[in-house]
Amino acid sequence: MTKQEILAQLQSVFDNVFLDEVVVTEELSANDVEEWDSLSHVSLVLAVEEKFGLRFRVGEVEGTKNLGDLADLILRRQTGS
Amino acid sequence: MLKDVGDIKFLLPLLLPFLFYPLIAGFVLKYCPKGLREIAFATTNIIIAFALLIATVLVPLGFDPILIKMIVSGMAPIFVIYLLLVGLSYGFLRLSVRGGLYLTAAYFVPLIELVVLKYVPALDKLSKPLLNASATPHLAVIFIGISYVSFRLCYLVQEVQNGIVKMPSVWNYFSFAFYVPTLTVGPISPYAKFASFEAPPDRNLVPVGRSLGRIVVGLWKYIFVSNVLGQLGYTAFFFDGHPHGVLDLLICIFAYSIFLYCNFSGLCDLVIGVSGLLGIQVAENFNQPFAARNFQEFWSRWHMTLSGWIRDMMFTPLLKMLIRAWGPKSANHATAIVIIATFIVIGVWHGAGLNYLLFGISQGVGVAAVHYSTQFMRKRLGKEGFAKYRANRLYYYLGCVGTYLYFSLTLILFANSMGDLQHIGEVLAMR
Repeated sequence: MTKQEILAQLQSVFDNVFLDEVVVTEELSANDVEEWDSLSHVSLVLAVEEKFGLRFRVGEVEGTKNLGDLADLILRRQTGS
Repeated sequence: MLKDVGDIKFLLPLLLPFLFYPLIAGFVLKYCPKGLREIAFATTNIIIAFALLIATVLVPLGFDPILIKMIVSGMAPIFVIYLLLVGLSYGFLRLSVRGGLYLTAAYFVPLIELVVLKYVPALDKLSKPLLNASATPHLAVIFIGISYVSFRLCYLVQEVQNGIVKMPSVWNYFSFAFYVPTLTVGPISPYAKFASFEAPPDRNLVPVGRSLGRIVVGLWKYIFVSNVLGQLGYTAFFFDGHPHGVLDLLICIFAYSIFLYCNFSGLCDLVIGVSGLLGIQVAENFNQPFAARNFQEFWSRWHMTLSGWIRDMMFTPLLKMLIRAWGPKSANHATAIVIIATFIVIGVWHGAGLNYLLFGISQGVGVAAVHYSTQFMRKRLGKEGFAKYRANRLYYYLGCVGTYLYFSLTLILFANSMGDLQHIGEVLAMR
C-alpha cells in the first residue's frame, strides 16, 4: 500500500467518525478540526486500528505531528519494520 | 509567604532555581568541554536540587548554622535514596527496549516509587524523628519534586519506545529528572523538548527577548498579583478568629481561583523564560484557561502538561481497552467512566488528602457532564444547528462564565483540607 492509498483510506475513516466534513491532507492535525478532541480521538484511533488491522502502542499516535506522519507510521507498521 | 522581605535568605527557594541556577548552568552549558558537559550539567542539577531542598526546609525554621548542619546531615541520606530510585527507573528504561514485561515494568517503576513514597503512611511514621526535627509534614516533601519527576520519567519511556527521542545517557537522564527550574512546580515537560540543551541554543525557538519578557510577566504575576490576591484567601479570612459570612466566602472563592492562576502560571512563565535563556525548551502549561467555553475545554487549557500526560498515558489507553471489551455501543458511557477515573487520579496526584479525591471527582463530573450534554446537543440541534450554537458569541460568553464559576466553586476542595473545610463551616455558623 502506498502513502496516498493510506490517506485515501483515512478519508473514509474520518467520514465515519466525524459529523463535519473533514478533508484529509498530509498536513492536517487535531488543531485543524474542532470536533477532534481527546474524546473523539479515541474513536478515531480505534477506527484506524480496525481499518488497517493493527494496534497502536501507548503514545504512538499521539507522537505523530499530522496525518502524513500517521500515514508513515501505518506504512511502517504494515511492512513490519 | 515571606517572613522578612529584607532578609534575602528567605528568598532562596526562588533565587536558587531562577537566578543562581541559570547563572551556573548557563556557564556549564556554554564553556564546559564536550566530554565533560553532560556530567557537569547533571552534577549541577543534582547539587542545586539538594540545595533547593535544604533551603525550602530551612525557610520556616531559620538559617541557624547548627540547624543547617543538622538538616543537611539528616536529609543527605534520603536524597541519596532518591538518586538511587531515579537510577533504578533508568535501569528499567534501558531494559524497556526488550519489550514485553520489561516495557510494562519501565512504565510502572517511576509510578510505583511515587505511590509508595507519597501514599504509604507507614513510611511517614518510620521517618518521624527526621520529619519532626525538620518540621516537614510528609516524607514525600524530602523527595523534592517527586510527583513531577516520576510523571516525566514515565512519559520518557513512551518517547523512547516510539522513537520520538533517542535513549538518553545516564547523565542526561539525571539532568532531565532533576532539571532544577521544573523540579518543584513542573511543567511535566517531555524529554523531546528538554533534549534541546544538547545543541547550542536555537534563538528562533527560544528568543532572548521573549524569554526575558516571560520572566518579567512571571515575576509580576507570582510576586505582585498573587501576593495581593493571597490577602483575600481562606487563611486571611477564616482563620483570624472572627466571624465571617457568606459574602466573605464568595470573595475567597473568586480571589483564590485567580490567585492560583497567577501563582502557578506566573511560576511557569519564570520556568519557561529562564529555560529559554539557557536555550532549553519547556512545554507551555496554560493557554488562557478562563477563555474556555466549557469545562472539557478548560482542562485542555489549564495545567496542560498534566492533562496531556493523563490523556496520553491513561485516558486514551484505558478507554480503548474498555471500548474493545464492551463494544462500540458502550463508547458513550465508557467515556464518562474513564473521564471520572482519570480526574480521580489527577485529584490524588495533587496530594494524599480526602479533599483532593473529592476535588478530582468534582472535576471529572464537570467534564463528563459536558461530554453528555455535547452528545445531546449534537443530536438535538443537528449538524447545522450545532454549528450555529457554537458560533453564537452570547452562548460562548455564558459558557466562559459558567465554566469559571464551576471551577472556582469546586476549587474550595483543592484549597482546603477536610479539617479546614470543617473550620470554615463552623466560622460561617457563628453568625
